[in-house]
Amino acid sequence: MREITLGQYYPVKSVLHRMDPRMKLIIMVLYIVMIFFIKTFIGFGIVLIFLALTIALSHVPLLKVLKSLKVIIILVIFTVVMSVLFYNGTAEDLIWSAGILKIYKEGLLNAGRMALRLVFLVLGPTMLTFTTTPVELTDGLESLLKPLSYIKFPVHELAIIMSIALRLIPTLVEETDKIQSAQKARCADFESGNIFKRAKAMIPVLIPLFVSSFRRADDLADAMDSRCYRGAKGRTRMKKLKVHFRDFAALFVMCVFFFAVLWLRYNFFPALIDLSAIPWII
Amino acid sequence: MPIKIEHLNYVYNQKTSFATAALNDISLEIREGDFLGVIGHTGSGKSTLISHLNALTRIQSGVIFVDDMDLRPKKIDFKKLRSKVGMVFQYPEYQLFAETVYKDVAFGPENIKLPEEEIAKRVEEAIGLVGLDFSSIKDRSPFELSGGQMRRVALAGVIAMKPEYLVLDEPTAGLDPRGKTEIMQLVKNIAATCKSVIMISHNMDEVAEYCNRIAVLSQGKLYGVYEPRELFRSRELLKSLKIDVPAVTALAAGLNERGFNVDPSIINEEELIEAVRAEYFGRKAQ
Ligand SMILES: Nc1ncnc2c1ncn2[C@@H]1O[C@H](COP(=O)(O)OP(=O)(O)OP(=O)(O)O)[C@@H](O)[C@H]1O
Ligand SMILES: [Mg+2]
Repeated sequence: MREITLGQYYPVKSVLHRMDPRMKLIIMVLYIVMIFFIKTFIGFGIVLIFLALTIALSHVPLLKVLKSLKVIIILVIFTVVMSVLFYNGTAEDLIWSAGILKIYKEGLLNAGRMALRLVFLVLGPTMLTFTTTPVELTDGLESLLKPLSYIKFPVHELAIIMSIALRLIPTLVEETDKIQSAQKARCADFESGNIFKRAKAMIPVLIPLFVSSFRRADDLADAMDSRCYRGAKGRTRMKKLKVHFRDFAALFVMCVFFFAVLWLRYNFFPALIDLSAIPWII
Repeated sequence: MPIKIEHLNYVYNQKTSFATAALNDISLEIREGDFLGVIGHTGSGKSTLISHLNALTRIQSGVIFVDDMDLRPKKIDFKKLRSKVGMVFQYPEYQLFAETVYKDVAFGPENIKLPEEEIAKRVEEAIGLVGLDFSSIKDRSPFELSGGQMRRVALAGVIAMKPEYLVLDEPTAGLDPRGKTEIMQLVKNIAATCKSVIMISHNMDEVAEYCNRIAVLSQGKLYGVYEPRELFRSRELLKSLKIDVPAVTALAAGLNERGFNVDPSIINEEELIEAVRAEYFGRKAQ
Protein backbone atom coordinates (compact mmCIF):
# COMPACT_ATOMS: atom_id res chain seq x y z
CA MET A 1 0.00 0.00 0.00
CA ARG A 2 2.99 2.21 0.50
CA GLU A 3 3.20 3.28 -3.12
CA ILE A 4 -0.36 4.47 -3.37
CA THR A 5 -0.84 7.95 -4.66
CA LEU A 6 -4.29 9.21 -5.18
CA GLY A 7 -5.43 8.93 -8.72
CA GLN A 8 -2.88 7.18 -10.78
CA TYR A 9 0.04 9.43 -11.54
CA TYR A 10 2.42 7.55 -13.79
CA PRO A 11 5.92 8.76 -13.03
CA VAL A 12 7.81 9.04 -16.30
CA LYS A 13 9.30 11.98 -18.11
CA SER A 14 7.42 13.38 -21.04
CA VAL A 15 6.43 16.67 -22.54
CA LEU A 16 2.91 16.17 -21.18
CA HIS A 17 4.26 15.65 -17.67
CA ARG A 18 6.15 18.92 -17.97
CA MET A 19 3.20 20.93 -19.20
CA ASP A 20 1.63 23.61 -17.05
CA PRO A 21 -1.21 22.01 -15.06
CA ARG A 22 -3.42 25.04 -15.70
CA MET A 23 -3.14 24.60 -19.41
CA LYS A 24 -3.81 20.89 -19.04
CA LEU A 25 -6.94 21.68 -17.04
CA ILE A 26 -8.15 24.17 -19.64
CA ILE A 27 -7.47 21.69 -22.41
CA MET A 28 -9.33 19.02 -20.53
CA VAL A 29 -12.37 21.24 -20.11
CA LEU A 30 -12.29 22.03 -23.84
CA TYR A 31 -11.93 18.32 -24.56
CA ILE A 32 -14.98 17.42 -22.52
CA VAL A 33 -17.05 20.14 -24.11
CA MET A 34 -15.84 18.94 -27.49
CA ILE A 35 -17.05 15.41 -26.83
CA PHE A 36 -20.57 16.71 -26.34
CA PHE A 37 -20.56 18.35 -29.74
CA ILE A 38 -19.86 15.09 -31.50
CA LYS A 39 -22.70 13.42 -33.33
CA THR A 40 -20.90 11.28 -35.89
CA PHE A 41 -18.41 8.44 -35.98
CA ILE A 42 -16.05 10.58 -38.02
CA GLY A 43 -16.14 13.03 -35.12
CA PHE A 44 -15.12 10.28 -32.72
CA GLY A 45 -12.40 9.41 -35.18
CA ILE A 46 -11.05 12.94 -34.80
CA VAL A 47 -11.03 12.60 -31.02
CA LEU A 48 -9.33 9.25 -31.36
CA ILE A 49 -6.50 10.91 -33.28
CA PHE A 50 -6.21 13.51 -30.55
CA LEU A 51 -6.13 10.84 -27.84
CA ALA A 52 -3.62 8.71 -29.71
CA LEU A 53 -1.39 11.76 -30.00
CA THR A 54 -1.74 12.45 -26.29
CA ILE A 55 -1.00 8.87 -25.27
CA ALA A 56 2.00 8.66 -27.57
CA LEU A 57 3.41 11.90 -26.19
CA SER A 58 2.78 10.91 -22.56
CA HIS A 59 4.98 7.77 -22.57
CA VAL A 60 2.30 6.00 -20.52
CA PRO A 61 1.91 2.41 -21.77
CA LEU A 62 -1.24 1.94 -23.81
CA LEU A 63 -2.29 -1.05 -21.72
CA LYS A 64 -2.16 1.04 -18.57
CA VAL A 65 -4.43 3.63 -20.16
CA LEU A 66 -6.90 1.03 -21.37
CA LYS A 67 -7.00 -0.54 -17.92
CA SER A 68 -8.59 2.63 -16.60
CA LEU A 69 -11.65 1.69 -18.62
CA LYS A 70 -12.21 -1.31 -16.38
CA VAL A 71 -14.29 0.73 -13.96
CA ILE A 72 -16.83 1.82 -16.58
CA ILE A 73 -17.10 -1.37 -18.56
CA ILE A 74 -20.32 -2.41 -16.80
CA LEU A 75 -21.80 1.02 -17.32
CA VAL A 76 -20.95 0.95 -21.01
CA ILE A 77 -22.44 -2.50 -21.54
CA PHE A 78 -25.57 -1.53 -19.65
CA THR A 79 -25.97 1.66 -21.68
CA VAL A 80 -25.48 -0.15 -24.97
CA VAL A 81 -27.94 -2.93 -24.19
CA MET A 82 -30.57 -0.56 -22.90
CA SER A 83 -30.35 1.88 -25.76
CA VAL A 84 -30.40 -0.88 -28.35
CA LEU A 85 -33.45 -2.55 -26.82
CA PHE A 86 -35.48 0.57 -26.19
CA TYR A 87 -34.79 2.41 -29.40
CA ASN A 88 -37.92 3.22 -31.35
CA GLY A 89 -37.13 3.45 -35.01
CA THR A 90 -38.99 3.35 -38.27
CA ALA A 91 -40.13 0.15 -39.95
CA GLU A 92 -37.62 0.25 -42.83
CA ASP A 93 -34.82 0.56 -40.27
CA LEU A 94 -35.74 -2.68 -38.52
CA ILE A 95 -33.07 -5.34 -38.87
CA TRP A 96 -34.12 -7.98 -36.36
CA SER A 97 -37.13 -8.66 -34.21
CA ALA A 98 -38.46 -11.35 -31.90
CA GLY A 99 -41.73 -10.68 -30.09
CA ILE A 100 -41.51 -7.32 -28.42
CA LEU A 101 -37.76 -7.15 -28.95
CA LYS A 102 -36.95 -4.99 -31.94
CA ILE A 103 -33.50 -3.96 -33.04
CA TYR A 104 -33.08 -1.04 -35.40
CA LYS A 105 -30.03 -0.05 -37.37
CA GLU A 106 -30.19 3.49 -36.06
CA GLY A 107 -30.51 2.06 -32.54
CA LEU A 108 -27.25 0.18 -32.94
CA LEU A 109 -25.45 3.22 -34.30
CA ASN A 110 -26.84 5.33 -31.52
CA ALA A 111 -25.65 2.87 -28.88
CA GLY A 112 -22.24 2.81 -30.51
CA ARG A 113 -21.97 6.59 -30.28
CA MET A 114 -23.04 6.57 -26.67
CA ALA A 115 -20.49 3.94 -25.76
CA LEU A 116 -17.74 5.86 -27.54
CA ARG A 117 -18.77 9.06 -25.79
CA LEU A 118 -18.48 7.38 -22.38
CA VAL A 119 -15.13 5.84 -23.21
CA PHE A 120 -13.68 9.10 -24.47
CA LEU A 121 -15.09 10.99 -21.52
CA VAL A 122 -13.14 8.71 -19.19
CA LEU A 123 -9.94 8.57 -21.20
CA GLY A 124 -9.39 12.32 -21.31
CA PRO A 125 -9.31 13.01 -17.57
CA THR A 126 -7.41 9.75 -17.15
CA MET A 127 -4.61 11.12 -19.27
CA LEU A 128 -4.64 14.25 -17.14
CA THR A 129 -4.24 12.28 -13.90
CA PHE A 130 -1.61 10.01 -15.44
CA THR A 131 0.58 12.96 -16.29
CA THR A 132 -0.17 15.39 -13.45
CA THR A 133 0.46 14.89 -9.74
CA PRO A 134 -2.40 15.72 -7.39
CA VAL A 135 -0.33 18.56 -5.98
CA GLU A 136 0.15 20.10 -9.42
CA LEU A 137 -3.54 19.72 -10.04
CA THR A 138 -4.52 21.60 -6.90
CA ASP A 139 -1.96 24.28 -7.64
CA GLY A 140 -3.32 24.64 -11.14
CA LEU A 141 -6.88 24.74 -9.90
CA GLU A 142 -6.05 27.35 -7.32
CA SER A 143 -4.38 29.52 -9.89
CA LEU A 144 -7.26 29.17 -12.35
CA LEU A 145 -9.87 29.95 -9.72
CA LYS A 146 -7.99 32.93 -8.39
CA PRO A 147 -10.37 35.48 -9.96
CA LEU A 148 -13.11 34.08 -7.70
CA SER A 149 -11.26 35.33 -4.66
CA TYR A 150 -12.32 38.85 -5.61
CA ILE A 151 -15.86 37.91 -4.76
CA LYS A 152 -14.60 36.60 -1.39
CA PHE A 153 -14.60 32.96 -2.46
CA PRO A 154 -11.96 31.16 -0.32
CA VAL A 155 -9.94 29.77 -3.20
CA HIS A 156 -6.65 29.41 -1.37
CA GLU A 157 -8.27 27.78 1.65
CA LEU A 158 -10.04 25.26 -0.53
CA ALA A 159 -6.83 24.49 -2.36
CA ILE A 160 -4.89 23.96 0.84
CA ILE A 161 -7.62 21.74 2.25
CA MET A 162 -7.53 19.71 -0.93
CA SER A 163 -3.78 19.33 -0.98
CA ILE A 164 -3.65 18.34 2.69
CA ALA A 165 -6.38 15.79 2.13
CA LEU A 166 -4.58 14.39 -0.89
CA ARG A 167 -1.34 14.26 1.00
CA LEU A 168 -2.89 12.43 3.95
CA ILE A 169 -4.84 9.78 2.10
CA PRO A 170 -1.88 7.44 1.54
CA THR A 171 -0.79 8.02 5.13
CA LEU A 172 -4.23 7.09 6.39
CA VAL A 173 -4.30 3.98 4.24
CA GLU A 174 -0.98 2.93 5.68
CA GLU A 175 -2.15 3.71 9.20
CA THR A 176 -5.34 1.70 8.72
CA ASP A 177 -3.21 -1.19 7.56
CA LYS A 178 -1.02 -1.00 10.62
CA ILE A 179 -3.87 -0.76 13.13
CA GLN A 180 -5.70 -3.56 11.44
CA SER A 181 -2.62 -5.76 11.68
CA ALA A 182 -2.26 -4.91 15.34
CA GLN A 183 -5.86 -5.88 16.07
CA LYS A 184 -5.54 -9.02 13.97
CA ALA A 185 -2.57 -9.95 16.10
CA ARG A 186 -5.02 -9.85 19.02
CA CYS A 187 -7.22 -12.30 17.14
CA ALA A 188 -9.68 -9.71 15.83
CA ASP A 189 -11.69 -11.20 12.99
CA PHE A 190 -12.55 -8.93 10.07
CA GLU A 191 -13.39 -11.57 7.53
CA SER A 192 -16.24 -13.65 8.83
CA GLY A 193 -19.80 -12.97 9.90
CA ASN A 194 -22.60 -10.95 8.36
CA ILE A 195 -22.36 -7.31 7.40
CA PHE A 196 -23.30 -6.01 10.86
CA LYS A 197 -20.72 -8.19 12.53
CA ARG A 198 -18.09 -6.97 10.12
CA ALA A 199 -19.04 -3.35 10.59
CA LYS A 200 -18.81 -3.84 14.33
CA ALA A 201 -15.43 -5.51 13.93
CA MET A 202 -14.14 -2.31 12.34
CA ILE A 203 -14.69 -0.28 15.52
CA PRO A 204 -11.31 -1.25 17.02
CA VAL A 205 -9.72 0.03 13.82
CA LEU A 206 -11.75 3.18 13.29
CA ILE A 207 -11.38 4.59 16.79
CA PRO A 208 -7.58 4.55 16.82
CA LEU A 209 -7.67 5.89 13.29
CA PHE A 210 -9.84 8.85 14.30
CA VAL A 211 -7.74 9.51 17.36
CA SER A 212 -4.56 9.56 15.35
CA SER A 213 -6.13 11.68 12.61
CA PHE A 214 -7.09 14.33 15.15
CA ARG A 215 -3.65 14.17 16.66
CA ARG A 216 -2.11 14.51 13.25
CA ALA A 217 -4.36 17.43 12.36
CA ASP A 218 -3.39 19.13 15.60
CA ASP A 219 0.30 18.58 14.94
CA LEU A 220 -0.03 19.85 11.42
CA ALA A 221 -1.85 22.96 12.58
CA ASP A 222 0.90 23.60 15.13
CA ALA A 223 3.59 23.06 12.53
CA MET A 224 1.90 25.46 10.13
CA ASP A 225 1.35 28.02 12.87
CA SER A 226 4.94 27.86 13.99
CA ARG A 227 6.04 28.55 10.45
CA CYS A 228 3.84 31.62 10.38
CA TYR A 229 1.21 30.30 8.01
CA ARG A 230 -1.65 32.76 7.85
CA GLY A 231 -3.56 31.93 4.72
CA ALA A 232 -3.28 33.34 1.26
CA LYS A 233 -2.40 36.89 2.23
CA GLY A 234 1.09 37.85 1.10
CA ARG A 235 1.99 34.26 0.36
CA THR A 236 4.41 33.56 -2.45
CA ARG A 237 5.23 30.25 -4.05
CA MET A 238 8.39 28.26 -4.30
CA LYS A 239 7.41 26.59 -7.53
CA LYS A 240 5.86 29.29 -9.66
CA LEU A 241 3.69 27.96 -12.43
CA LYS A 242 4.94 29.17 -15.76
CA VAL A 243 3.38 28.93 -19.16
CA HIS A 244 5.80 27.90 -21.89
CA PHE A 245 5.66 27.78 -25.63
CA ARG A 246 4.72 24.08 -25.48
CA ASP A 247 1.60 24.95 -23.50
CA PHE A 248 0.38 27.35 -26.13
CA ALA A 249 1.24 24.85 -28.83
CA ALA A 250 -0.88 22.26 -27.04
CA LEU A 251 -3.73 24.72 -26.67
CA PHE A 252 -3.47 25.52 -30.35
CA VAL A 253 -3.64 21.85 -31.30
CA MET A 254 -6.66 21.44 -29.04
CA CYS A 255 -8.36 24.37 -30.72
CA VAL A 256 -7.72 22.92 -34.15
CA PHE A 257 -9.35 19.66 -33.14
CA PHE A 258 -12.22 21.52 -31.51
CA PHE A 259 -12.74 23.49 -34.68
CA ALA A 260 -12.71 20.32 -36.76
CA VAL A 261 -15.39 18.82 -34.56
CA LEU A 262 -17.52 21.96 -34.72
CA TRP A 263 -17.15 22.13 -38.46
CA LEU A 264 -18.25 18.53 -38.77
CA ARG A 265 -21.31 19.27 -36.68
CA TYR A 266 -22.39 22.63 -38.12
CA ASN A 267 -21.15 22.40 -41.68
CA PHE A 268 -19.70 25.94 -41.65
CA PHE A 269 -18.76 26.20 -45.32
CA PRO A 270 -21.53 24.58 -47.37
CA ALA A 271 -20.44 26.56 -50.37
CA LEU A 272 -16.90 25.23 -50.19
CA ILE A 273 -17.42 21.65 -49.05
CA ASP A 274 -20.92 20.51 -48.25
CA LEU A 275 -20.41 17.97 -45.48
CA SER A 276 -24.10 17.12 -45.30
CA ALA A 277 -23.90 15.81 -48.85
CA ILE A 278 -21.25 13.22 -47.97
CA PRO A 279 -23.14 9.96 -47.36
CA TRP A 280 -20.62 8.18 -45.14
CA ILE A 281 -20.70 10.79 -42.42
CA ILE A 282 -23.08 9.19 -39.97
CA MET B 1 12.24 -27.04 17.60
CA PRO B 2 9.80 -24.29 18.66
CA ILE B 3 10.04 -21.99 15.62
CA LYS B 4 11.67 -23.04 12.41
CA ILE B 5 12.02 -20.87 9.33
CA GLU B 6 13.46 -22.30 6.13
CA HIS B 7 14.28 -20.60 2.84
CA LEU B 8 11.77 -17.83 3.34
CA ASN B 9 11.40 -15.30 0.54
CA TYR B 10 9.06 -12.37 0.33
CA VAL B 11 8.36 -9.77 -2.34
CA TYR B 12 6.02 -6.82 -1.77
CA ASN B 13 3.65 -5.94 -4.60
CA GLN B 14 4.63 -9.03 -6.49
CA LYS B 15 4.14 -8.88 -10.23
CA THR B 16 3.77 -5.12 -10.39
CA SER B 17 6.19 -2.41 -11.35
CA PHE B 18 6.58 -1.56 -7.65
CA ALA B 19 7.84 -5.02 -6.66
CA THR B 20 10.35 -4.84 -3.79
CA ALA B 21 12.14 -7.89 -2.53
CA ALA B 22 11.99 -7.73 1.25
CA LEU B 23 13.25 -11.16 2.31
CA ASN B 24 15.73 -13.35 0.55
CA ASP B 25 16.23 -16.99 1.48
CA ILE B 26 16.02 -16.68 5.25
CA SER B 27 16.59 -19.79 7.35
CA LEU B 28 16.47 -19.43 11.10
CA GLU B 29 15.66 -21.49 14.14
CA ILE B 30 14.36 -20.08 17.38
CA ARG B 31 14.95 -22.33 20.32
CA GLU B 32 13.07 -22.64 23.54
CA GLY B 33 14.42 -20.14 26.07
CA ASP B 34 15.81 -17.87 23.40
CA PHE B 35 15.70 -14.13 23.72
CA LEU B 36 16.45 -13.44 20.08
CA GLY B 37 17.41 -9.97 18.98
CA VAL B 38 16.77 -9.02 15.36
CA ILE B 39 18.89 -6.15 14.14
CA GLY B 40 19.62 -4.55 10.80
CA HIS B 41 19.27 -1.29 9.00
CA THR B 42 16.01 0.43 8.16
CA GLY B 43 14.39 -1.51 5.34
CA SER B 44 16.41 -4.66 5.92
CA GLY B 45 13.23 -6.70 6.33
CA LYS B 46 12.98 -7.15 10.09
CA SER B 47 9.32 -6.24 10.37
CA THR B 48 8.45 -8.31 7.33
CA LEU B 49 10.21 -11.31 8.81
CA ILE B 50 8.47 -11.22 12.17
CA SER B 51 5.03 -10.55 10.73
CA HIS B 52 5.30 -13.97 9.14
CA LEU B 53 5.41 -15.59 12.54
CA ASN B 54 1.73 -15.03 13.30
CA ALA B 55 0.63 -15.20 9.66
CA LEU B 56 -0.13 -11.51 9.31
CA THR B 57 2.08 -11.80 6.27
CA ARG B 58 1.50 -15.03 4.41
CA ILE B 59 4.33 -17.15 3.11
CA GLN B 60 5.13 -16.66 -0.56
CA SER B 61 7.85 -19.25 -0.65
CA GLY B 62 9.61 -21.16 2.06
CA VAL B 63 8.59 -23.01 5.20
CA ILE B 64 7.67 -21.90 8.70
CA PHE B 65 6.75 -24.14 11.59
CA VAL B 66 5.62 -22.79 14.94
CA ASP B 67 5.79 -25.79 17.23
CA ASP B 68 4.00 -28.32 15.07
CA MET B 69 1.88 -25.80 13.18
CA ASP B 70 2.68 -25.53 9.51
CA LEU B 71 2.07 -21.95 8.34
CA ARG B 72 2.06 -22.73 4.64
CA PRO B 73 -1.56 -23.82 4.06
CA LYS B 74 -3.97 -21.06 3.09
CA LYS B 75 -6.40 -21.92 5.85
CA ILE B 76 -4.83 -22.34 9.24
CA ASP B 77 -6.16 -21.89 12.75
CA PHE B 78 -5.40 -18.18 13.01
CA LYS B 79 -6.81 -17.82 16.51
CA LYS B 80 -4.68 -20.62 17.82
CA LEU B 81 -1.57 -19.29 16.11
CA ARG B 82 -2.10 -15.70 17.16
CA SER B 83 -2.75 -16.54 20.77
CA LYS B 84 0.38 -18.67 20.67
CA VAL B 85 2.51 -15.97 19.07
CA GLY B 86 1.82 -12.61 20.70
CA MET B 87 2.93 -9.65 18.67
CA VAL B 88 3.61 -6.17 19.96
CA PHE B 89 3.98 -3.66 17.15
CA GLN B 90 6.00 -0.50 17.04
CA TYR B 91 4.20 2.24 18.95
CA PRO B 92 1.54 -0.18 20.20
CA GLU B 93 -0.21 2.62 22.10
CA TYR B 94 -1.80 3.70 18.80
CA GLN B 95 -3.89 0.53 18.70
CA LEU B 96 -5.82 1.29 21.91
CA PHE B 97 -9.51 1.82 21.28
CA ALA B 98 -11.80 0.79 24.16
CA GLU B 99 -13.50 3.08 26.68
CA THR B 100 -11.64 1.58 29.59
CA VAL B 101 -8.26 0.02 30.11
CA TYR B 102 -9.96 -3.15 31.29
CA LYS B 103 -11.99 -3.55 28.10
CA ASP B 104 -8.97 -2.88 25.95
CA VAL B 105 -6.82 -5.48 27.62
CA ALA B 106 -9.73 -7.93 27.51
CA PHE B 107 -10.09 -7.53 23.73
CA GLY B 108 -7.69 -10.33 22.83
CA PRO B 109 -8.92 -12.88 25.36
CA GLU B 110 -12.52 -12.13 24.32
CA ASN B 111 -11.66 -12.77 20.71
CA ILE B 112 -10.42 -16.24 21.56
CA LYS B 113 -13.69 -16.82 23.41
CA LEU B 114 -12.33 -17.51 26.85
CA PRO B 115 -14.82 -17.82 29.71
CA GLU B 116 -15.63 -14.62 31.60
CA GLU B 117 -13.80 -15.53 34.85
CA GLU B 118 -10.71 -16.57 32.94
CA ILE B 119 -10.70 -13.25 31.09
CA ALA B 120 -11.02 -11.29 34.33
CA LYS B 121 -8.18 -13.26 35.85
CA ARG B 122 -5.91 -12.78 32.88
CA VAL B 123 -6.60 -9.07 32.56
CA GLU B 124 -5.76 -8.46 36.19
CA GLU B 125 -2.64 -10.55 35.88
CA ALA B 126 -1.51 -8.83 32.67
CA ILE B 127 -2.03 -5.35 34.04
CA GLY B 128 -0.04 -6.34 37.09
CA LEU B 129 2.74 -7.78 34.95
CA VAL B 130 3.24 -4.50 33.10
CA GLY B 131 3.67 -2.68 36.40
CA LEU B 132 0.35 -0.86 36.59
CA ASP B 133 -2.01 -0.77 39.53
CA PHE B 134 -5.04 -2.79 38.48
CA SER B 135 -7.70 -1.33 40.75
CA SER B 136 -6.88 2.30 40.06
CA ILE B 137 -6.39 2.04 36.32
CA LYS B 138 -8.91 -0.51 35.14
CA ASP B 139 -11.80 1.93 34.71
CA ARG B 140 -9.85 4.81 33.24
CA SER B 141 -9.93 5.68 29.58
CA PRO B 142 -6.74 4.58 27.85
CA PHE B 143 -6.66 7.92 26.04
CA GLU B 144 -6.15 9.93 29.20
CA LEU B 145 -3.01 8.04 30.22
CA SER B 146 0.56 9.13 29.67
CA GLY B 147 2.45 7.77 26.68
CA GLY B 148 4.42 5.32 28.79
CA GLN B 149 1.30 4.07 30.55
CA MET B 150 -0.47 3.64 27.24
CA ARG B 151 2.36 1.54 25.96
CA ARG B 152 2.14 -0.65 29.04
CA VAL B 153 -1.59 -1.11 28.57
CA ALA B 154 -1.00 -2.10 24.95
CA LEU B 155 1.64 -4.57 26.08
CA ALA B 156 -0.81 -5.96 28.64
CA GLY B 157 -3.35 -6.39 25.84
CA VAL B 158 -0.98 -8.81 24.15
CA ILE B 159 0.25 -10.73 27.15
CA ALA B 160 -3.31 -11.20 28.41
CA MET B 161 -3.54 -13.84 25.69
CA LYS B 162 -0.74 -15.73 27.42
CA PRO B 163 1.38 -16.12 24.31
CA GLU B 164 4.02 -18.81 24.32
CA TYR B 165 6.15 -16.71 22.02
CA LEU B 166 6.39 -12.98 22.39
CA VAL B 167 7.41 -10.93 19.38
CA LEU B 168 8.26 -7.27 19.88
CA ASP B 169 8.94 -4.66 17.22
CA GLU B 170 11.10 -1.97 18.80
CA PRO B 171 9.33 -1.95 22.15
CA THR B 172 11.29 1.05 23.42
CA ALA B 173 11.07 3.32 20.37
CA GLY B 174 10.41 6.92 21.29
CA LEU B 175 10.83 6.55 25.06
CA ASP B 176 13.24 8.43 27.27
CA PRO B 177 16.20 6.47 28.69
CA ARG B 178 14.40 5.77 31.93
CA GLY B 179 11.25 4.66 30.15
CA LYS B 180 13.40 2.39 28.00
CA THR B 181 14.94 0.61 30.97
CA GLU B 182 11.57 0.26 32.65
CA ILE B 183 9.94 -1.29 29.60
CA MET B 184 12.90 -3.60 29.04
CA GLN B 185 12.74 -4.70 32.65
CA LEU B 186 9.06 -5.55 32.15
CA VAL B 187 9.85 -7.41 28.96
CA LYS B 188 12.44 -9.39 30.83
CA ASN B 189 9.90 -10.33 33.49
CA ILE B 190 7.34 -11.29 30.88
CA ALA B 191 9.98 -13.29 29.02
CA ALA B 192 10.19 -15.58 32.02
CA THR B 193 6.55 -16.59 31.39
CA CYS B 194 7.10 -17.35 27.68
CA LYS B 195 8.94 -20.04 25.76
CA SER B 196 10.94 -17.50 23.78
CA VAL B 197 11.04 -13.84 22.93
CA ILE B 198 11.93 -12.22 19.63
CA MET B 199 12.74 -8.55 19.68
CA ILE B 200 13.56 -6.11 16.91
CA SER B 201 15.72 -3.30 18.13
CA HIS B 202 17.88 -0.49 16.89
CA ASN B 203 19.37 -0.01 20.32
CA MET B 204 22.53 -2.09 20.67
CA ASP B 205 22.70 -1.48 24.41
CA GLU B 206 19.41 -3.29 24.85
CA VAL B 207 20.29 -6.05 22.45
CA ALA B 208 23.60 -6.67 24.19
CA GLU B 209 22.07 -6.65 27.61
CA TYR B 210 18.95 -8.76 27.13
CA CYS B 211 19.42 -11.05 24.14
CA ASN B 212 21.19 -14.37 24.15
CA ARG B 213 21.26 -14.58 20.36
CA ILE B 214 21.25 -11.92 17.71
CA ALA B 215 20.08 -12.31 14.13
CA VAL B 216 21.60 -9.76 11.78
CA LEU B 217 19.62 -8.87 8.69
CA SER B 218 21.03 -6.94 5.81
CA GLN B 219 19.07 -6.07 2.69
CA GLY B 220 16.63 -8.90 3.14
CA LYS B 221 19.28 -11.53 3.79
CA LEU B 222 20.11 -13.15 7.08
CA TYR B 223 23.72 -12.20 7.57
CA GLY B 224 24.17 -14.53 10.50
CA VAL B 225 23.07 -15.39 14.03
CA TYR B 226 25.55 -14.53 16.75
CA GLU B 227 26.00 -14.57 20.47
CA PRO B 228 26.15 -10.95 21.67
CA ARG B 229 29.75 -11.22 22.82
CA GLU B 230 30.84 -12.80 19.59
CA LEU B 231 29.06 -10.17 17.51
CA PHE B 232 30.26 -7.12 19.34
CA ARG B 233 33.80 -8.43 19.50
CA SER B 234 34.18 -8.63 15.72
CA ARG B 235 34.77 -4.99 14.87
CA GLU B 236 35.35 -5.67 11.19
CA LEU B 237 31.97 -7.29 10.83
CA LEU B 238 30.23 -4.49 12.70
CA LYS B 239 31.94 -1.91 10.57
CA SER B 240 31.01 -3.61 7.32
CA LEU B 241 27.39 -3.84 8.48
CA LYS B 242 27.48 -0.29 9.85
CA ILE B 243 26.23 -1.46 13.24
CA ASP B 244 27.14 0.51 16.35
CA VAL B 245 28.63 -1.15 19.37
CA PRO B 246 26.89 -0.86 22.75
CA ALA B 247 28.00 2.13 24.81
CA VAL B 248 29.67 -0.07 27.44
CA THR B 249 31.60 -1.97 24.79
CA ALA B 250 32.73 1.28 23.21
CA LEU B 251 33.90 2.51 26.59
CA ALA B 252 35.70 -0.75 27.39
CA ALA B 253 37.38 -0.73 23.99
CA GLY B 254 38.46 2.88 24.48
CA LEU B 255 40.00 2.06 27.84
CA ASN B 256 41.71 -0.97 26.38
CA GLU B 257 43.17 1.10 23.55
CA ARG B 258 44.62 3.57 26.04
CA GLY B 259 46.53 0.82 27.79
CA PHE B 260 44.18 -0.22 30.56
CA ASN B 261 43.74 -3.88 31.17
CA VAL B 262 40.02 -4.00 30.31
CA ASP B 263 38.53 -6.65 28.05
CA PRO B 264 37.21 -4.84 24.91
CA SER B 265 34.43 -7.38 24.39
CA ILE B 266 32.59 -6.52 27.59
CA ILE B 267 28.90 -6.10 26.90
CA ASN B 268 27.29 -5.16 30.16
CA GLU B 269 27.64 -2.59 32.88
CA GLU B 270 28.42 -4.88 35.78
CA GLU B 271 31.29 -6.54 33.96
CA LEU B 272 32.72 -3.18 32.99
CA ILE B 273 32.50 -1.85 36.54
CA GLU B 274 34.11 -5.02 37.81
CA ALA B 275 36.93 -4.83 35.27
CA VAL B 276 37.59 -1.14 35.94
CA ARG B 277 37.62 -1.73 39.67
CA ALA B 278 40.02 -4.67 39.33
CA GLU B 279 42.28 -2.57 37.12
CA TYR B 280 42.15 0.38 39.51
CA PHE B 281 43.03 -1.67 42.57
CA GLY B 282 45.59 -3.62 40.57
CA ARG B 283 47.39 -0.41 39.60
CA LYS B 284 47.08 1.04 43.07
CA ALA B 285 48.68 -2.04 44.58
CA GLN B 286 51.73 -1.72 42.34
N1 LIG C 1 3.61 -2.51 2.81
C1 LIG C 1 4.69 -2.45 2.04
N2 LIG C 1 4.58 -2.28 0.70
C2 LIG C 1 5.67 -2.24 -0.08
N3 LIG C 1 6.91 -2.38 0.35
C3 LIG C 1 7.10 -2.53 1.65
C4 LIG C 1 6.01 -2.59 2.58
N4 LIG C 1 6.50 -2.78 3.82
C5 LIG C 1 7.82 -2.82 3.68
N5 LIG C 1 8.20 -2.68 2.40
C6 LIG C 1 9.58 -2.71 1.86
O1 LIG C 1 10.16 -3.93 2.25
C7 LIG C 1 11.48 -3.74 2.73
C8 LIG C 1 11.62 -4.25 4.16
O2 LIG C 1 10.77 -3.50 5.00
P1 LIG C 1 10.63 -3.76 6.55
O3 LIG C 1 9.52 -2.89 7.04
O4 LIG C 1 10.50 -5.21 6.80
O5 LIG C 1 12.02 -3.21 7.11
P2 LIG C 1 12.50 -3.05 8.62
O6 LIG C 1 13.78 -3.78 8.71
O7 LIG C 1 11.42 -3.42 9.55
O8 LIG C 1 12.79 -1.49 8.70
P3 LIG C 1 12.64 -0.50 9.98
O9 LIG C 1 13.86 -0.67 10.80
O10 LIG C 1 12.60 0.86 9.34
O11 LIG C 1 11.38 -0.84 10.68
C9 LIG C 1 11.75 -2.26 2.58
O12 LIG C 1 12.48 -2.08 1.39
C10 LIG C 1 10.41 -1.63 2.48
O13 LIG C 1 10.45 -0.49 1.66
MG1 LIG D 1 10.21 -2.26 10.93
